[in-house]
Amino acid sequence: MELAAAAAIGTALAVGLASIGAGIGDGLVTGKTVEATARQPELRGSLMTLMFISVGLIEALPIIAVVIAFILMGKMG
Amino acid sequence: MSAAAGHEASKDILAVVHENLNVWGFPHDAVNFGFGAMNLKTLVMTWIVMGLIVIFTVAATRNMQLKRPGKLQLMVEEMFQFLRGLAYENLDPKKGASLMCLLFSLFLFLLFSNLWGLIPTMMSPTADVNTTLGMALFVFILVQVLGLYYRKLGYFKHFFEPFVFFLPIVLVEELSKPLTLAFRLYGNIYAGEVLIAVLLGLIPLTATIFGGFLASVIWLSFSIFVGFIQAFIFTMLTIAYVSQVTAEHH
Repeated sequence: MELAAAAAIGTALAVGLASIGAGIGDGLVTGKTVEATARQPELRGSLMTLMFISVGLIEALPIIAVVIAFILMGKMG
Repeated sequence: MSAAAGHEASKDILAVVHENLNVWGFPHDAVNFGFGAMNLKTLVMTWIVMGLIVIFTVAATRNMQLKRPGKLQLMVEEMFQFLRGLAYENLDPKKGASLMCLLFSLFLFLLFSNLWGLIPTMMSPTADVNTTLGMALFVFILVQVLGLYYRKLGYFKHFFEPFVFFLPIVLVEELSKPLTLAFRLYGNIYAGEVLIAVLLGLIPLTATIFGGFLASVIWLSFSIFVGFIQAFIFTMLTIAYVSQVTAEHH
């Protein structure tokens, strides 16, 4: 298989799997936050802060996967 | 074969867009001045951001008034109080107060750097792994030094804390902190910028459909949001690491 073809498959796989991971992780966190806010509306501010921190932490590795996909995309040409 | 023709035709849209966007004529590869290779573009952008921050804070704190604060002063006070609230939640007030200087500078620098790259033809200093790795290493060294300062030599005991044979795991955890800090920030900002370039490269395709800049606008606004979040997370994690290492004992 030529390098360009393999790089194309690699790029698509990296981004696809990364988005599955990020989507599931963020969805779980945000779902729990919404649930907790519905239970105790007065904690809304601090729960939102915690949610943003968690989303940033969760998205770290998928973003690294996206950067690797961009590196591979450079090898496609 | 059509594969070869396909290679020629695409010619890596990204490379073409980057060439066309290089309005200021920065050299693409790292330049060697005698003490190692440096990215000239990152350096110049860092200096510009530093200059901007100095102008911003001097303008905000000139003629500071208690009774009738100006708008810029209110903005800076708001930022400072927000960070101080975060720091006092996690650290105790004495250590928190001495760390505030660093936290405020870090947050302001990261915020300005992340948002600077969204201006056309400019690049964020933090879109370069050298900047983010440098800052992450700085935070790492700060955490070690503060740990040694507040706990003297008892600091090394915490490496062997639960069981001695956990040492490799504890070491990996300790080393992964600066690495993930660096790469999280780099990945978010760099991926944002590359996507801006890719979306610009797509304009000839979609220009006749929507005025092809709609996707660009949406992505730019999301990048503003990401810039704020990443600056906040870097600062928050610094606070968390320092609080872990200077916590009063069990």
